[in-house]
Amino acid sequence: MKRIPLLLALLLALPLPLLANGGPTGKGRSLAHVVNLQQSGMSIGAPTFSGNSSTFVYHDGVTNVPSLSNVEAGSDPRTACNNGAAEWPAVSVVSFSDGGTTTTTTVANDGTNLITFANTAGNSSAVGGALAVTLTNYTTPSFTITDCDIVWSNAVTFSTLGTPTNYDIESIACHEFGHAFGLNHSGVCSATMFPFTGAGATHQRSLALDDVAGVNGVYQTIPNFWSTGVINGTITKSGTPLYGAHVVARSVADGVTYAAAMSKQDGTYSITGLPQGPYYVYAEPLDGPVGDTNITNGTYYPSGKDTSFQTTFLGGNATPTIVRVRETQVTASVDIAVTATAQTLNLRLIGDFPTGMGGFSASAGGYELAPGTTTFTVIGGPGVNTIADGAFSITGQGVSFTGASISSGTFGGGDGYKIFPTSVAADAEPGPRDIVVDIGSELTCYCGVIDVSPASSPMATTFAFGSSSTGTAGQPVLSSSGGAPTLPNSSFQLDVSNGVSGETCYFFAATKADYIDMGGGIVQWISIPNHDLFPSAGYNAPVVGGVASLASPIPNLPNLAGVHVYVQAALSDAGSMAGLSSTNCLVLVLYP
Amino acid sequence: MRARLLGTALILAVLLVAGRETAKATILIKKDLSQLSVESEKIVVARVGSQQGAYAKGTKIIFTYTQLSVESTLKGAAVESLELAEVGGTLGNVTCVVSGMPRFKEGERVLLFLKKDALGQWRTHGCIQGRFDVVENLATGERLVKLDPALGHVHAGFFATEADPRPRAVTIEEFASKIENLIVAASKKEEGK
Repeated sequence: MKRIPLLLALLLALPLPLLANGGPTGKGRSLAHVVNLQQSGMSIGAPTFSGNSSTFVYHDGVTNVPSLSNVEAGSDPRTACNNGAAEWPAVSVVSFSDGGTTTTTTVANDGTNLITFANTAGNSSAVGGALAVTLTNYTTPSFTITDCDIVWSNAVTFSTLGTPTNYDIESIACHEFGHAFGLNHSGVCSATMFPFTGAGATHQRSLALDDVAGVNGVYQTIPNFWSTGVINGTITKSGTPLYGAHVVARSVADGVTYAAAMSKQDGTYSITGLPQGPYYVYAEPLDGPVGDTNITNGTYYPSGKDTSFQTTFLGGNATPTIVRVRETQVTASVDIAVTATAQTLNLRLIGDFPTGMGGFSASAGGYELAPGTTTFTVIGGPGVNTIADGAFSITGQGVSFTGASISSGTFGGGDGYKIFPTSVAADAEPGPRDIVVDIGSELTCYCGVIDVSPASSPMATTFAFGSSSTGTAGQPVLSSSGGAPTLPNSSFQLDVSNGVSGETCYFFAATKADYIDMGGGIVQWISIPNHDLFPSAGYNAPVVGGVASLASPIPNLPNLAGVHVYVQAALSDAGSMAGLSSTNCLVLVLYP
Repeated sequence: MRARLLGTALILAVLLVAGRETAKATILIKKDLSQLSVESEKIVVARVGSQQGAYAKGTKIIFTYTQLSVESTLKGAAVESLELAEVGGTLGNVTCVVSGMPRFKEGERVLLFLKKDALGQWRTHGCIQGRFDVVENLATGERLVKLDPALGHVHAGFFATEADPRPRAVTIEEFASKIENLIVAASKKEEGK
């Protein structure tokens, strides 16, 4: 009987919606994981719109832009605001409607959700020293929003034309609607809910993974929320609950920083909206660029967050413990006892410096880099210029510093800086990355500061993650040959080295990553429904000359573009402790 | 060789280029200590008193009004007390949430840069950038102004030294002296124009 190839068998079993969505790891971008209202000790939720739907009206100045002193001529603020708002319904159950225009100029708790650029005393007073603010009025005890207004400053000029000296309306609108939908600020530097932006910056127009996780944490409804998992835990310092730690989940599979949360006054935290898979979790102080006061909110998040501790990974910084996240499930008791001494390392300035020549600058916020980019990265913070180059790295697949720093020095403000050549591979996975400084005795993460944007022409690729167990012939390594996993590729083949000749190699594939530590160094890195033990009946090949190969032709099915296939192999190995050894995981990213 | 030349060019460049302007939405318009000192109408060290939510006069915008007992006035006419307004707060069963605005707890001691807003209310100038915690060194009795590392753009260029690139606090006298010098320097610069 002719057997269906391994990958084809798996792919044919994929549910149609998954294929239609372009795969399980397609990038969305969303909001900060600190929701706007939570009570110490127990969540009382966040203020939400009745029926999850909202209608906003515009002060009619938006139909006569020349009448607005704070909007660049030729701009279309209404369309830009609508576009910014539309990011949220695209990834969650919230809805937004443009309800037309009104002659009302000034924000007020009057039951009408207003967007206004008008220059009035009330608006000026409400916006204070900000670019724009969202005033969300809700009633207790229902926590239903009764009025929500967005007001824009008249102290600066806004634009929809991408003018470098003006502030981008769509980006700021997207951020403000995040507040409207219940989110506070994010410590993930490339998130839309990161509390800083720069003139001309546009990357906050689209949501980051943390933003998406955040809004679905507020509106916990099917399917967005329940197709993901949750990490819960408590942060302590010297045995007592620690308030205000920024707790971050970074994927082990691709090194992408997915989402973060903040520990509440009782030390507890909850990171929602995580795709299934293995994660590292760390707690860091909110010591810049996002700080205590950026995420302060009256009774529920008062000031006084503790920032006097060091960035600490679950399980320790040297060998962090991996956390298993499964969809629809809560992984509880992910508790971190932080190192109680104050952090001396701190990164708080970043700059993209494409030419490597001429003037450069740095600011607090993150930014996007496209796959295939080579650039220079300016990193700034106290004493950064005195830290050895080898301590600096970027997390995740496809992004790296490609050599020694080309310059270092001190900014006028006293912070040190270093400039590193930086490369983003053409096949880099989209999503935020941390810059890490690790000097052995201490490390710090610049959280999600470089966000790899989705490629305009994504390409098929493979990358590996995860450990192998030690077998009789060493650690078996899973790789591929015959080119990239393009749709189609009839020559594609999976190869395992360091096997024991005469034994058998079993191949397994899945559409999700997983983490099941079976002991003895054997880890299952992929999610196989109803097959959580190695080996089982499956696709196999004999080990010959220490190598096992399995022809794995990629079918010509264009709808599979963007699907990620997670492959792992297990080898029978009579000489090893469990009679078995296992490989790393190989991720196949399918594209034509 | 190329790298060395490039490095030289960069060192020259960095002397010329300041940090990129950033702001925060509730994105703030960035202010440093010099701007805060010059632009503020009043700078005070005060103890935070009672708080109450109410609509600002002539509006339906909820503000939180905080009573301040002023201990010292570093700029502007000396006062014993004043009422500080910040947007957002609770009035009856309605709460208005505005992310990123300064918040205060009764009993706290703070140093504030203040300016009147368009409604004639005292506000923290530059939002959270104009608010500093004041703490007391219990051993020496000195009052210290805490320098929030997350607001490094406000103060880093004024107190950091090579020996101490990230100071966490300075005495209130040193802080006041710095403010005074910044105001004088700005005034001379203005006169020289």
